[in-house]
Amino acid sequence: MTAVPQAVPAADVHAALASVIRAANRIVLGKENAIRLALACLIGRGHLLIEDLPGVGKTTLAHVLAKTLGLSFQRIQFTSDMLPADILGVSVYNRDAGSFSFHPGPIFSQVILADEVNRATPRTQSALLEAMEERQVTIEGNTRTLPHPFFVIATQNPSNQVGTFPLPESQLDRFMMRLQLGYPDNRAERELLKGRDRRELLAETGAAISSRELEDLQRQVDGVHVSDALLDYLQDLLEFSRVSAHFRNGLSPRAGLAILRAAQAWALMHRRAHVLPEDVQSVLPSVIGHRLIALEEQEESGGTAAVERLIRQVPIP
Amino acid sequence: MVSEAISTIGRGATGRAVHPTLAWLVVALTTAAAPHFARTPVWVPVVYLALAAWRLWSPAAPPGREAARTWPALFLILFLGACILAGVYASYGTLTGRDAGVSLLILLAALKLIELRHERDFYIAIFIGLFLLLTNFFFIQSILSAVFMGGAAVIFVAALVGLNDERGILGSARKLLLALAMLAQALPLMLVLFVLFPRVAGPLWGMPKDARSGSTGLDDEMAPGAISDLTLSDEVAFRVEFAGAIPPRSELYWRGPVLWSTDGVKWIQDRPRSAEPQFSVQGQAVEYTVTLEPTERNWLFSLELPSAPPRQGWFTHDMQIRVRSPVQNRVRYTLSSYPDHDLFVSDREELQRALQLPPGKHAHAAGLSASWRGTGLDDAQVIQHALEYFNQEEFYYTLSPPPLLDDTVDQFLFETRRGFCEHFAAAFVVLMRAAGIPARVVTGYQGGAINPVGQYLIVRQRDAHAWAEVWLGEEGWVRIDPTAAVAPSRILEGIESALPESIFNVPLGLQDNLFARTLWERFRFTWDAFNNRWNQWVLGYDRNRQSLFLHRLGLGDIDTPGLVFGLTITGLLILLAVAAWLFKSGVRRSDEAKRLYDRFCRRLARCGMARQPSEGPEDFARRAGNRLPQQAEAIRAVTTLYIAARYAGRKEAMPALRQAVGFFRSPSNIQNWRQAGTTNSGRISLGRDL
Repeated sequence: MTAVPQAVPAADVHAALASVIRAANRIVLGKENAIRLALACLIGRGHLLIEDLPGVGKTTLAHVLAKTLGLSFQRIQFTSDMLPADILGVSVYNRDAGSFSFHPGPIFSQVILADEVNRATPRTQSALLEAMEERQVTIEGNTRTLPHPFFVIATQNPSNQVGTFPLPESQLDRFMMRLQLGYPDNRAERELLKGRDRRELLAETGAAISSRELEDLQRQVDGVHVSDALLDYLQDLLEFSRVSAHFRNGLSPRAGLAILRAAQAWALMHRRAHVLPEDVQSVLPSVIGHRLIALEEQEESGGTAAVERLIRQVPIP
Repeated sequence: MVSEAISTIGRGATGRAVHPTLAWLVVALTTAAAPHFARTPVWVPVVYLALAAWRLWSPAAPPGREAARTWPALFLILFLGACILAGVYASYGTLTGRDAGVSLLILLAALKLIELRHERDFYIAIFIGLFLLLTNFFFIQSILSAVFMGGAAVIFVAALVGLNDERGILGSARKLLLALAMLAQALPLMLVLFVLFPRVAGPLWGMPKDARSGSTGLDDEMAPGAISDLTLSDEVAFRVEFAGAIPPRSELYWRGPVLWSTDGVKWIQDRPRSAEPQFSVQGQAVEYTVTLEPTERNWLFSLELPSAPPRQGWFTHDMQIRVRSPVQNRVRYTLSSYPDHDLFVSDREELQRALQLPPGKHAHAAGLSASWRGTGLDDAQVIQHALEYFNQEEFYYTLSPPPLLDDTVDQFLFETRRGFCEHFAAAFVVLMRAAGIPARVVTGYQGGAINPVGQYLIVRQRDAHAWAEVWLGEEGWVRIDPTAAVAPSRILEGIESALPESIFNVPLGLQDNLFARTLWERFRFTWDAFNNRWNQWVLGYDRNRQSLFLHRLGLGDIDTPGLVFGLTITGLLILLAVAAWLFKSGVRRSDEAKRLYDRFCRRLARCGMARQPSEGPEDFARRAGNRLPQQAEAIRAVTTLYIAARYAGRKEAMPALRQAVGFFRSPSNIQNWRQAGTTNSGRISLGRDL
């Protein structure tokens, strides 16, 4: 963390980021903050979970992110009868060659759009989730590395909906962020209703950033300076979540790492080479909202209100 | 800070102001005061509870800081205070002393509750409460009360924890656990201090005069019913540890006051005179240590007859052990007695007095013994005859004899014939004196219960007894126990078996069940053994015990100043080590940039622009800049430098930050800052990355 601050990021990278955001904004209306957070998650090498009611634009957002980032892209529609092999791939006996040959599943691409991930059974979910954590998959005894970069953008319906297998906490923890989109505001909705079909727009959208540029961005995120003072603040937040009576469990060290990484990405996106407490506060609701279970609020929103209170109650040291 | 907290934080939907620690404080104070409520006049708990309830359920102070500060109005508190003083004075006739003082303390603590305004007030209330808790020991020092007070102390510490829980993140259970943990951590230190702290010979401060009252026990005079009343009391009179085997029950006569003269109803003592005992002993001595409960009397009890008085006492002419001042604290003394002895007396005049009878009383009794004498019996035969008389006529040993109205002895001997030991002893002595044999009544205790758990003897008030001594020329004073002639089991098996009435504390329903009864008795003995340990080693841990204990530890040679010195040094070293450890592990590096920024924030706060504790520097700069547009540029610059120094790892921004904050004294200095800023404008851009 005491790495020498990186040189000021190249302006063209920021221009590229800006164009990604612009392109996404054109298609997903009125959700600029969610788009920015999603982008921060991806350049922070995190996986993204988008959770909301059907029809508010989860899939569209996932789609537009994948497309504008110019990555190879596979969409997996999760259903309850899906098997792990449907994701990972399968070996088929080739009679001509007289041997088994492996047919890679959709997981072998750079961006996986795992649509309605909580409709699959836990067994299938876990096949995906192993890949997320290890960035490799083991099929029939062979370990195969996944392409680089590798993102999972999963969408899910709120788990109180019919026909869902809620992701357990241990698997939720593997998503760096969980975003909730919510209904568009009045103006955005009017524009949406008046405008063209989103699918057409999506088809027209091209990559706004090259794969090399994305990797460059990711490296720069690593280089964003984190001071001791900021780590003090982060540790205070973690400590608070652990001793506070408001939460069922405290935040894990992995959650701490995720906060830090997201805050670094957020700082980079705001053209800074160091992280400020404000960066942490900006990403915090999305990063820990699905990890903290507030005791008072039993509803599924996962306590964004509790996170807001956490931010308010922990002084910046 | 808390005043704000009271008026803002806790104000929920109901609009009431409740500080989170208030409930804790009230519970703790009430716990400390509750044991006193049974001892104070009724109005004290009523007023206390009313004030506490007022605090808990009162409407909030009127909104606004100033109002919160003066609510309730000072005159109201002064008025209540005056009422309380007047009330206590009216009830006790004084404001000092133990009882009045405790009542006053309870009420003033309640008064403090209603004027809680600042954090400081909470601390004061807690410390008052802790003192109040301690005052319970003025009344009762048993194990149970100590346990209770330990629990109350935990609640007080939990209240302190809550007071310091500034973020309000600790739940009730966690506060209690923390408090327990803290007290547990204090325990070793407490033990060390308890064991090693130098004991002074007397008490450090005098207890109030009224601190001791109402203890039951053997009196210095005896009238019919005096001892049977005591028999109802289960209280411990004293406990005895024997060095060797415990002598048989029939030898366990614990000598107390010796009564010489009677007015026909009451028997009273002689004025005690110091005397060298004249007695010869045979056989083995019995060595034992008595731990006497406070009696408020000037005598000690001993097994008949001790060879020498204990350190703190002296022998009287009738072989009582007297002490200078009444026994107000538990006292411990070691004696060595010879059950087989001959006791003499030096004075002929004494024998003369041992023959006196009240004029015109006990005519029938005198006639009876004269008739025995008339048949030509000698002294020993007269005694024998009297005992046979008690044994063979229809005399009954009972706890509830019929009342004796006119001539107690005659009525008892010839009409009622039902009596307790004092009746028999008094009647016997009257018969002896009428027959010309010098005789006197001895009171004390007989027997006692052996505690199998601790292997010691418990003598309770109900073991109180009276017997007689007669003078038989050659043999000296000889003990005669007429009760033994009527109810031998009283002497051989103890009072429990001698009385038909089942009065001895066996819970209802257990009396017929032998197993349950045995279990219950076993429990009682264990509990008493515990109490005995507690009395001996905790309450009775005085200078002697301490030096004994230190000797056993091999620390016996340390003198008191050395002890104090060593203790102080050790304590300091321990504290230093703990402090060093705490600093190393918990305390953050002090950060100059942060200190400068805090100063800057304080200055802005004075302009009415306070930074929220959780507000980041950029956010604050934006807000402050909008609010104070004229200083926006300066605020921006300080913030930029601060971020550069503290968050971007650019230590080279420190001098500029120092300077910038230095200039930013007050709004009037902005102009100066601008000038300085323009001369060094290059450094401002340090913090800007892009």
